[in-house]
Amino acid sequence: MKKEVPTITTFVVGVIVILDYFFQLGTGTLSLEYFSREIQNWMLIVAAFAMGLAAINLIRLHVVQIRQRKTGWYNSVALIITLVVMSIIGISMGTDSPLYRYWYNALLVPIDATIFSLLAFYITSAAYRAFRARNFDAAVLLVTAFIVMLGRAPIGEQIWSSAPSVANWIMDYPNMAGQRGIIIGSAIGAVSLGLRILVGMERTYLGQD
Amino acid sequence: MSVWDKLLSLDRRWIYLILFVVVSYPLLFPIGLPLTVSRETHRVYDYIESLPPESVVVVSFDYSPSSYAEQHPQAVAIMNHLMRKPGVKIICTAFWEQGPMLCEELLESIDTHGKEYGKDYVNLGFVPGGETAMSAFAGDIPKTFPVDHRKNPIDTLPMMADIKTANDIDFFISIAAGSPGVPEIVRQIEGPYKVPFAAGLVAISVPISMPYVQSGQMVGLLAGLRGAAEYEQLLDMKGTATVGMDAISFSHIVVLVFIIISNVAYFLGRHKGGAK
Amino acid sequence: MRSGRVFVLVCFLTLACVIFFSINRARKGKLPYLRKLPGVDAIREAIGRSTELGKPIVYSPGIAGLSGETGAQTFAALEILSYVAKTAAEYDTRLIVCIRIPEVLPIAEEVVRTGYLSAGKIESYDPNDVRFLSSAQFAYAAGVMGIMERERPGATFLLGGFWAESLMFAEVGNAIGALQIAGTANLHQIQFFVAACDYTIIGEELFAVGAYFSEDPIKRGAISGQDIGKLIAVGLIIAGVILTTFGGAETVDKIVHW
Repeated sequence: MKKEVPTITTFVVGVIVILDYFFQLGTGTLSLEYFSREIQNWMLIVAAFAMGLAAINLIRLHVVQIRQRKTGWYNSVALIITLVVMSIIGISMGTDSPLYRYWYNALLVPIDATIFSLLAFYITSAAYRAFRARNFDAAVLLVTAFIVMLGRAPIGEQIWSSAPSVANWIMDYPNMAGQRGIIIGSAIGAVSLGLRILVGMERTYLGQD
Repeated sequence: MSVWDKLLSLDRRWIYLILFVVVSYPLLFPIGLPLTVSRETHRVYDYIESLPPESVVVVSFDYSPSSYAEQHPQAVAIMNHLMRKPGVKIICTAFWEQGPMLCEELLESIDTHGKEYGKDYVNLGFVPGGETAMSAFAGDIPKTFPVDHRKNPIDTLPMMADIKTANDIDFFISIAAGSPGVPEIVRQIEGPYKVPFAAGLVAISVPISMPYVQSGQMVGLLAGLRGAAEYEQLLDMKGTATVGMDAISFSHIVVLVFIIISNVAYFLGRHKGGAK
Repeated sequence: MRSGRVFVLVCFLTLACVIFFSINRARKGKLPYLRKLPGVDAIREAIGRSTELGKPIVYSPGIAGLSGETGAQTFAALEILSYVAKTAAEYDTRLIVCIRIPEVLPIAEEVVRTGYLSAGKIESYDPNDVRFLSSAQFAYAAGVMGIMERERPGATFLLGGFWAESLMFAEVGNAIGALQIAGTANLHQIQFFVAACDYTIIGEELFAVGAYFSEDPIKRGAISGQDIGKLIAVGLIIAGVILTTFGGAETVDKIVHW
């Protein structure tokens, strides 16, 4: 039953949700739509429990780091203290309380924005390393990247007045064509995988072949 | 090691330092480079401008603090425009968990032009579930949000009296940083209910969303910080996006210069037998 | 029938029939030919490299969940993780898996544990090496980058749904000299992987990788079915272009929104 129950559950749930997308069958609490919504609500509940499991995994890992005094163990102390304190504040006072919002705005917002801003530096170093015209394909990549970057910045229009229109042409035609091809291929691949999971042909996600 | 090899294997920290210095300069000493408004931004502006009184517009705050610098100016510009439109009702919602907080922050600082909370605009808050939540929202708004973000029961809000499903929405705008975002809105709101929609996106998401603009499924879009700056220009307001555009210009030039240096070093090094 | 969805239903049923037909054909012995994918061959090479260097492997199955259009990428990444875990176990190479979405964690733990079990090395399995880091995107990114900097892996696998953090991982991996194999179907990140990683698995190839590691006719047949599906899509595009060019745009619109 260890294999059969998850497979049958996957099939039944998947068929209900798929059928609901195409057909309106039944009324009220005996309708496909009602069952589909309920299933999707259960998913949210399962996700919430999974969050609890994940928190336990996190705490377990970092307690081990602290006990064994592994390199950087004091960071694990900071993590656990922050986790506990913010959880207590959030649960007892609500996430809209001034104290929660203060720490949220003082800690999470600037750190989040800082990590994202690292991308600018990484893009520059990646461009320096990767945009070399080693062969024809690389040269085409280089030239188009150059034109699009020039066209997208206001200063680019000052340097070359046609840069925005050429950049737009590149984005609207060759780029769009390539993107659409990949979108269609990926979508078909995803449908194929979904169908195999639905009918139980694919069970790797259960830890089985 | 030849000078070309040294250039090709330049320590990336020098690159970071030069970029930091160059980008900081225009932030401290703004230059004010002129900006052309793109047709995608213009379409969004024109559509909002054409909205008659009593139109219902949903603004969905689907971004997080990480893209705050790029997308909050978009939200500010759009909300400023909507607040200026007499009679237009604004429903703020979010399918990303930090959305409502960002919305409240915006509402606290914006000029509402006499609009009142509950009568002309409302912040419904966040609903978990991603695309599932969007589907639920489109099908039954009061059931999805029985209370708003400020804990007011929805049936006590005068503007929500006749707004039940996506059929009652005239325009949907999402300030979207990722997923759930544009494809989900197309599948759950624009497609089934034919609600016109536009989006403010991070620059990296713009190319993959352009097919929706081209096909007419999207009215238009705001492309990153530049889109916000363009919108500010249309509204004749000097916001943070306009200030940031000079920094963006300089950062692009830095990247282009490094690419040129890299290629010159590569070819000259190869010519002299020094580089790989 | 809900309005505007007949065409989508017809396409879905056609694709499903084609895929199941191809799978059936493969089961009867007519295995399709699969062209070489450099990224796939490199997976075993990467694990071997890490073993020789005595370094661990870091694996990220992306930051997408199990639902929505990006859910399929997570499943594909977990499928590849199964192979990587088994091979890493056979080679006695440490495997660190970094998880962002909580509901992916128990699945990843089970996949890795089963990999070690099937390699006969269950005693080497360390549940602390399948780690939930954070469900906040950039907290997760910072966590993975930190693990890469500290553990100095010989190979990194970045397979699944990625967003803005993709280039961060790729650049850090490059800086520490790891062999990097990356793959995603998220269009906006493919170019970063192509620019910064050693091998890239692009778009739908991610869903096909599982078939390369097994002689399973189901997986191989499914790839053949996908290719037929793509040919049908090409046919529809050509038909749509011809119709629209010769004044049939309204007809196309009616068919699509039927």
